[in-house]
Amino acid sequence: MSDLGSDIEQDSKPRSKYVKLVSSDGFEFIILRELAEISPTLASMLDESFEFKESKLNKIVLREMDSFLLEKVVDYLYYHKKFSDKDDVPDFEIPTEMALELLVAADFLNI
Amino acid sequence: MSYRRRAPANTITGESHIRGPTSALTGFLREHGINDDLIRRRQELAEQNPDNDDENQEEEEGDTEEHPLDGAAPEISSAVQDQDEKEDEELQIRIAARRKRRLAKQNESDYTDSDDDDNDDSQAAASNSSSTPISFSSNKKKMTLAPGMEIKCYECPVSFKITAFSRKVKDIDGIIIGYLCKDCAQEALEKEKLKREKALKARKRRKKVAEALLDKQELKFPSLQDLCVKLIIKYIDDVEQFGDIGTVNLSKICQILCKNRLLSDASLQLFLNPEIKDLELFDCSKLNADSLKKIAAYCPNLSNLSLQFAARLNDNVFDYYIDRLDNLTSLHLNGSFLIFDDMWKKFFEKFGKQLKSFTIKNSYRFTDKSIDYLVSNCQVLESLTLSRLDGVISPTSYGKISQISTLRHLEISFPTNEGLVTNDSVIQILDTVGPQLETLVLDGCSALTDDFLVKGIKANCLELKKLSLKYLDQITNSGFQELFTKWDSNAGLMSLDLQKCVCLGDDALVAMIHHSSGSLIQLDINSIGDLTFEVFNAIKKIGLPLLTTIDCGFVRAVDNRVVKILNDAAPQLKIMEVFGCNRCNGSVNIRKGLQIIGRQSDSI
Repeated sequence: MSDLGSDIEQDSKPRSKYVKLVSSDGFEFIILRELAEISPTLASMLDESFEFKESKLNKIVLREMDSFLLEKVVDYLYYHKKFSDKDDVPDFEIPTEMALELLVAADFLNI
Repeated sequence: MSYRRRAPANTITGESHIRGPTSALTGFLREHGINDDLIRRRQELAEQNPDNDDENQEEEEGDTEEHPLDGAAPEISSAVQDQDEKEDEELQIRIAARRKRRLAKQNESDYTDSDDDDNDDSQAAASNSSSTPISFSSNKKKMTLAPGMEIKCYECPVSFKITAFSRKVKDIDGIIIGYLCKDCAQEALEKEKLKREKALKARKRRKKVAEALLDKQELKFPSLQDLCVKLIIKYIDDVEQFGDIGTVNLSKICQILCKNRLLSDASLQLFLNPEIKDLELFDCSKLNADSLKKIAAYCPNLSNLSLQFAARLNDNVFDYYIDRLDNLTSLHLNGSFLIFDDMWKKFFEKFGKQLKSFTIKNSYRFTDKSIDYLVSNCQVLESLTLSRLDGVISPTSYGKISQISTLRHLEISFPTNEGLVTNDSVIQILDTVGPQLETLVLDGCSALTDDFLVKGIKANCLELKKLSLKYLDQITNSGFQELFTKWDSNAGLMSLDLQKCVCLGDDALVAMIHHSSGSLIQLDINSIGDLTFEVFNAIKKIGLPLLTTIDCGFVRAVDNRVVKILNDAAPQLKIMEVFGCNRCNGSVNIRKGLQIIGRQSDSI
């Protein structure tokens, strides 16, 4: 997806299975597209019909989240994928000191 | 050195000095020279004596404990040592003979017992029993097994010595049919543990589902926001400030705090900031007057304020509110019984021109005079709720509401005595506000009769969408029929609440369904006992395309057939409450998305 210049070329290519989430301190998390799309906010950023930069680059920079926070968010996305259709769901661990920040992030991502 | 020297003295048997952790009992027995060998030998001696043949294991154990052997033990063991081999042989022969007898008996007798064993999971290995050297059939005879005997494990071909701690295998009647070796016992123990854990988990989950059901929610996968909110609630006392967590989350935290009765002077501060326009606190019972004052001090731009259980909201605080909250358009108070007439006068005089929504509940200091101030000052009031006001005692007071011609939502409920809200006063109100009225709630005004339905509602209420008439036990079929027959001016009700209108029957409901079937979303017919299957037959024919919730608890006619009819005739139906309908059980197939709450058969 390096050639973001031409839209036509972009359309003809199959979309990458993975997207990149970048934290404020520059850490990159490469995760499955379907995981990112659990969050309606990220999903609309990645929606091709809106032609955002994010959807062309398959890369979303989340300036409000540092790497610790984003790692936890990604953790949750995997937790969601793994257990959302299961009966027996283990608890999702959240460090107490992160709860408020994570709530802000979760509110932004709508997850 | 001294320690080392002492150590062998303790071990009379001269075993290896290296040992794992042992119990106090083991230590005690070892000190007295009692070990496996000794116990086995005593057992063998007992075996030789035919009188003691049927003594069971517990008695044997009791014996050894009651007469513990002292220092003489080693002597005994040495004395018996010579006989050891002989006895061992004899024992083997004995056991073999007994086994043969048992096998023969088993072949003769029916196999019902072993069949039963096969059905039971824990006894699945019963079929193996014939292959073990000592076979434990499901014979009802007591086994002569005692610690010290060497037998083969019930599960695997390992031989081992029975100890007091060996795990017994019992059949369904509780009779011991064998023992497990150490490894198999460990395995069985782990299996049991797992099973227990699973059962516990399953129970927890069922509890969760049941709780969600009673809250009329479906059990959903927890969102990250919910998880965070839960954690924050737990540590609410340590939170200094919420960041930008969004108004939805803020109100969610507030609601959960109030639900758990945790909203305190300290945590209130977290919800106050000068920008908010709406504030809703569901439990102010722990807030003192100073904290309540803070609300107006920190949030001067409030336009919508709702305080429940605000008992400590007194004249002084309310005066401060009146001075500070210039933008207030909506005030909802519950339980504020420390605000007196004069302060209500001041309030209505200042806010009469802008107040759009006003609720007062559970306050005996809101009196006839207060209603006068309300009526004479409020010019744009659209929503008014007066509920459980024991200070309103004049029969003319409620009728004065007719002067507020702008009302669109009106609730007058549970007056202190039923004579205060009469047909005449309601008709008087509806004559002026009826044409634009959308909501009418007259719960507990039990003096009302059919008259107000026809002369009040039918004649005036063109726009009425929500009607609640709980506990009106004087309205009858004929009134309802007259109201809903040819009521063409009204497009249909969306919500109808008829809980405990005990004089209503089939005809009333059928007439209503003919009129409002196309628009009805919510219906409450709780405790209308006279309803029969006929009503539901009518629903089956006409259909209720928009109906989403129905409460038909304590209606005798509701059974599985009715559930099926509603399942089919109301495609949008999501919640159906059937408390007290004993003939509803789980045997009806209902579509996904429809929740039935209150069935006796849904036990956890």
